[in-house]
Amino acid sequence: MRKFIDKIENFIFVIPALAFFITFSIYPLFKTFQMSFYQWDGITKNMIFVGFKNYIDAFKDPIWLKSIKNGFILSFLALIFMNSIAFLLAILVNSGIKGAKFYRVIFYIPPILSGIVVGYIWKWIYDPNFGILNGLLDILNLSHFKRPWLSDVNTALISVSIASMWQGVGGSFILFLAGLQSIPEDLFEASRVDGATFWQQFFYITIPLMSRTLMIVSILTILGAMQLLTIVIPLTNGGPGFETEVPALRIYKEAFSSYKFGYATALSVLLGIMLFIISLIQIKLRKVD
Amino acid sequence: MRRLLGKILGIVLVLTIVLVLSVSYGKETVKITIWHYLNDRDKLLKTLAAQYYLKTGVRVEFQLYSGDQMGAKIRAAAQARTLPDAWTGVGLKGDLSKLAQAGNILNLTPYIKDWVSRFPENIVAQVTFTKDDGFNVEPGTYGIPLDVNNMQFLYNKDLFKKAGLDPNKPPKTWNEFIEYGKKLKAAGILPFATGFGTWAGLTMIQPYEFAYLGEEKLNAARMGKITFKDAGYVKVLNLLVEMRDAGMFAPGTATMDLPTAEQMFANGQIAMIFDGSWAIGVFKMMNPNFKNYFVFFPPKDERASYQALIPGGIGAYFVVNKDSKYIKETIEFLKWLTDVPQQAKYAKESFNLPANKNTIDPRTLGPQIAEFVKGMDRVYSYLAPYKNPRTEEILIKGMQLIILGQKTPEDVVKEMDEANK
Repeated sequence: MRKFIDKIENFIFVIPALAFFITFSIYPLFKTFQMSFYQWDGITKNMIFVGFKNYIDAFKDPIWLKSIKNGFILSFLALIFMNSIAFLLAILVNSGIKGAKFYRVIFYIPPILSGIVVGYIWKWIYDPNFGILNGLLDILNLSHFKRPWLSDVNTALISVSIASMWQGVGGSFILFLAGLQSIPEDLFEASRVDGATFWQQFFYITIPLMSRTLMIVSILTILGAMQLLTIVIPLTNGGPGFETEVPALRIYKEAFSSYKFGYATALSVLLGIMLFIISLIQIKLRKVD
Repeated sequence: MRRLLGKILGIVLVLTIVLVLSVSYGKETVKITIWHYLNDRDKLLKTLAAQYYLKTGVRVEFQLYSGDQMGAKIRAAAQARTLPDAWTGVGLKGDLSKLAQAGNILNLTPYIKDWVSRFPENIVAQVTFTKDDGFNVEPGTYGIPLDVNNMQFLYNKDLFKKAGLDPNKPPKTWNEFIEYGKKLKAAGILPFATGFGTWAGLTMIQPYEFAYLGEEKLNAARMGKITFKDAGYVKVLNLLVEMRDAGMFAPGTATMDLPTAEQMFANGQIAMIFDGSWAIGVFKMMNPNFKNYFVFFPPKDERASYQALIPGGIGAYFVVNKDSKYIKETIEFLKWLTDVPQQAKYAKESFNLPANKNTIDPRTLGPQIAEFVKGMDRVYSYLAPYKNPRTEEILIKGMQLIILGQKTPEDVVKEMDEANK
């Protein structure tokens, strides 16, 4: 009896947190899933049950598919370039260079800026008429490289990617740095005594012991890139054409511009499932390793 | 004796509390909250609200939000039932009808019937639903106009002069317009930009939609009754090809937003822009020294059979929350705000055309505003909604790709017809 009372008492302590979790996470999730089966404009009370139509339409929607493709391109670029730069910076800062604390702060400033602010900063940099990028190319006698970076179908997506990587590199850097600092120093000392070179230390100590961090950073990078929104709105708003359309922007536009709330929630569910599967695969792959 | 004294003190204490509570209840101040997106007029509206507070004791708080995101904010607040007492409406009947059907906005007819005649009838008609208009809303007026506007071309006289063009003779025909563009380009001047990255690009081709298709065909195509191809929409988009081939677009125009184009025009970096009458205030804010510019009506295209009509009519207008605690007070404030003295101040300080027709005095208007006023007669009164709202997005994006030479007008029209099925 006493045990039962203890359990009840413990449960009572959990109730407030549980109530918050159910109200602000479980219920909205359930509601989103429910709404995805309806045709609804988001305002009126007129909701029509359409079954799986929204999901079927999504697979036939070329703009949604294009946005997914763009999301994967942005993820791929961020995985390769942003994380390589972040890893390199983390190694440099961890190697005990002068001013390491200063760099640690500096690199972490972009991630704490609002995406909209970052978007406007880069919009100004890329401006074809008075932006500093084209200005710099003029100074360097490289005027033939000048172009309207965000309006050119060949450079728009790459330009968005660079701006988002600039913002994201600090987040990956901090995680890598934390991972590097958790590797015991005596492993490196012992390997040095055995005559290991820097590269041997890197490939046989650093990389294996950083695998968990690498996996977490990779998952976060993909999740971040696939959900990119606030930078894209001021930079290109998805244009020119649909060249920089990304999944979150598509969902936003379907909900708030086209009044297709049911369809937008179906797209959200699909995106959520996709990201969940990607994360599962990555975790599974690490376990196989 | 002590008990009696205690009782008396107790009664006095209770009476004091009751008195204090009743006094503070009686002094409850009315506070009206109004959301708006009129970035350049925020200070002015707040000044007028302060003036109203001194006059009536009613507090009005104007809260400024981004114009681009205002629609989304309204829809989200409508779902959550957290709308303010009033707000500046976004869109016209299409958007309004949804809020009216959901019971979010008030039918103002019984409240404003005695003073609605202060606004031009065609302006009020833009926020009024009738029985058989197809919107399925209780007939009545749902908005109170604050200003009116229209959209035309503006040009920089100094840059025209620099290119060897007569600064007092803006282009009258489409051919002249293209020729002027070529001359400006040859003189090393960027001829033209507007907000093709957003809704503003659409408005530039609207006069030519009317000119080439005529009102009937245009609306039939928008409603999906005939295809855009059959309506002859390719000819409208071909105008962009002609502008592109003449080198008229400033670099980056395809995805440019209107504020960027306005900043370039106010800085003297582009010679022409397509913009609204409100831009006069915007230019003044961006560059107070920039004054040597003028307005011209969309140049007549001789290949088109109909008259060009320009976008415009009602500008900013207010709608009132049906669930507001202060409906009467909110409408009283809006009545005061649109009365002649306040409208005169509004027009003088914001360079916008006041909605109250008794306020417009042609003798006191600046030359640019006076030119915009002339255009009010050629504003189109009705534009049908697209059968599928996505068609508009396809058109905006298609126009961007035509400007970049990535798509042809035929490609875009085909995509529009597919989207509007």
